[in-house]
Amino acid sequence: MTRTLIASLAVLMAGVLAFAGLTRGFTVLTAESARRQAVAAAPIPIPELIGIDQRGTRRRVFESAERRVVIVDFIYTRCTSLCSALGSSYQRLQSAIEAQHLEHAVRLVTVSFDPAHDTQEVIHEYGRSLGAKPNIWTILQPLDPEALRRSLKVFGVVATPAPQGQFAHNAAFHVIDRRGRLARIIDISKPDAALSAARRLYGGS
Amino acid sequence: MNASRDRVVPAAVTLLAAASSLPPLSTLLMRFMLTQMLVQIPLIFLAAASLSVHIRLPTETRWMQWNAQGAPGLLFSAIVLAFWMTPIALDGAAADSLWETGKIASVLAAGSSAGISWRLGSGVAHAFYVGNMVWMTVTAGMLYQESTERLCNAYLWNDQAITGQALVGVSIVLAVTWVLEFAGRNVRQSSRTGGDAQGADSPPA
Repeated sequence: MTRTLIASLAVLMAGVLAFAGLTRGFTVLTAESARRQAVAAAPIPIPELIGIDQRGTRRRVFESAERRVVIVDFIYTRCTSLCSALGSSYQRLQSAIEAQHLEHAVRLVTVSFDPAHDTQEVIHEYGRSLGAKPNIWTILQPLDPEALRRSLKVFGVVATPAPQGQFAHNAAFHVIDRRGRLARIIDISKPDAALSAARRLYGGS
Repeated sequence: MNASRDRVVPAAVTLLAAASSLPPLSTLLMRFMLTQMLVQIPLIFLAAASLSVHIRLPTETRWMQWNAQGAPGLLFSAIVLAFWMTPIALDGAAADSLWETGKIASVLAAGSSAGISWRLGSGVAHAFYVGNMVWMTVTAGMLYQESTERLCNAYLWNDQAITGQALVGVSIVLAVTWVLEFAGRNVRQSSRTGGDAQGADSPPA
């Protein structure tokens, strides 16, 4: 009986350790939250992603010469749910950046992960309808699908094709610090937190 | 008749489990949360369990001292299955082949351990194991059903909700089946002992 008790305790301890490892010490239950924690603890360099913005100009997601902090999101323009909410949040963020005179410090970037549909005309129209000001808010059609794929992987964005030209995808505010590293991933329900994080990252480096 | 059925069923389950662990079938099953959780994992588990009930370990008596009533073995099996019910582990298996290999190996071990330990356990050990499994599966199912967010980046929200309902359904079926089987066995046992006491010719009351 003692041996069985020892064996049971050993199994239980191994199980607790396995669960603790899996859930980062019982703090996360999803891959998404695990990722957010990991990024905040150790920012990761992002790969270069070049695209054409709503004015038809070549732009990068992170422009190293500007050294502005960037808040990035990934969308597709046909989206009727998550991306519309993100669009509204970005409008509010743009207003806040103007009101707080943060144009020199924080930039907004929206990247389409459906560049086949989101062509120059579509991106232009999308930017116009949302009132995106190109000096603050860049909307990008990525040029190289392979570079886009690499970026999505690093940013942890999964976009799964769904029926009727839709995608199921996760979304968040990805904040890139002045050294071009993904430093924070913030829930889409908290645009104010994204701006505060961006301000802190600008001030802190 | 029964003897040949005893061999045919485990053989069929084993073949299906082997196929579901290897491409192309594994790729197909891993595309959906429903098929990963309710087809692939159960098949692998059942194959290992049904094969291991036939294994007679030569040193079984010595092993029994470490596994009295099958307690640590059943505990191990329950912990492994609980591990592969969490969204973060399912996402890991869907995204990374190393995780997937680990999943198959651990579920095989959990199934074998359950098959061997079930035989050693009494009704109390069985009730504890089945009760624990049902409670765990219902909890996971409710989590997946109720969540308004996508918990796995690899799977769609619809898939998640349906998987949640199916998990709850399967656990109810599992619980009812076990209770009926347990009750049936007890009735048979008590009528046999009753029959011995009253004589073989006495009609049942």
